[in-house]
Amino acid sequence: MSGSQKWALLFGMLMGGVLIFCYLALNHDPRKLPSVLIGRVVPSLHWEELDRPEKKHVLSELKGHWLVLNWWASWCMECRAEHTLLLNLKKKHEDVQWIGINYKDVRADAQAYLKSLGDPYQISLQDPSGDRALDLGVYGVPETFLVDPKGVIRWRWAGPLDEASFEEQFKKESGL
Amino acid sequence: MKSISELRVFYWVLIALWGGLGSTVWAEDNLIENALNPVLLDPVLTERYQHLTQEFRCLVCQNQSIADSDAAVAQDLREKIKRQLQEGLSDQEIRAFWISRYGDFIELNPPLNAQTVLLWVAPFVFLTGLILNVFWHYRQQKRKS
Repeated sequence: MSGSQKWALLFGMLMGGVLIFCYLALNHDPRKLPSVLIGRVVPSLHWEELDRPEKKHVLSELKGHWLVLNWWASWCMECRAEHTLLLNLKKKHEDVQWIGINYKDVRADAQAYLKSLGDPYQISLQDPSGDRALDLGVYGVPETFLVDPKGVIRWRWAGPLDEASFEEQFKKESGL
Repeated sequence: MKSISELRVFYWVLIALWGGLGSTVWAEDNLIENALNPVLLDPVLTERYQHLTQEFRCLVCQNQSIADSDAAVAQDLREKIKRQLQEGLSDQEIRAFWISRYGDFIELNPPLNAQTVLLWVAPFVFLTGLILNVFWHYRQQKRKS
């Protein structure tokens, strides 16, 4: 092999490497960053109920059911986009506990939102300062966690939920 | 032509107002954040705070530290770090807290471990290879002549 051929080969390999890198980089969806909390037990934090702030809940109380924790806010447009899906999923999966966590919101706005669009949650909790969201590694709203009956976090989804992903993951994790 | 010069004046006023408004809003933001926080009244804690917030990644803006970002999550993280400093947590404990919740991703400088070793070593390997190649080539050229 002559010198120029060798250089051409090297150049080609380099370009190939750059192309592969670009391909991988462009296909990397930062939203799919896996939560490090997967496989860990839900932190035992006290949550205030949205309608009755004096009533407190601990998520570990709700053991024995599959839980879906859905972070939302009335000011969040993407939450509106996933709202109909949440209503449908709640109807379809009655054995699952649907828990809404209202994030950095005005309580009256949140209540009005659920009243006008329908309430997809069995239990509505609030996180007005967004402080407890940091304990669960939440990036923003909407975000959804799937928790198994033992209280272990099994899946998380950042951004508006899509039906296929949820159903596929739920089936895989729960076998239901 | 009167209208054009009037328009020009109008634009200048607009630009001046815009600039003035922006800087006051920015100044007020910082003022409130700085004046009311006990962490920022303590020079030692302030230094640690500044150092830590430079190290953590703003999670929603990909390549900015939380010190440089105005995103809501970055502000929340800064507030929480201030509280952690007030509670007397060490830098190590604060770092461990955030990594256990957001993963290595939260560190702007990725840590050196099995997963990231390529990231750290590759540039040096590449550079050494390049230098060796140039050197070898140079020697060959010399030998030929």
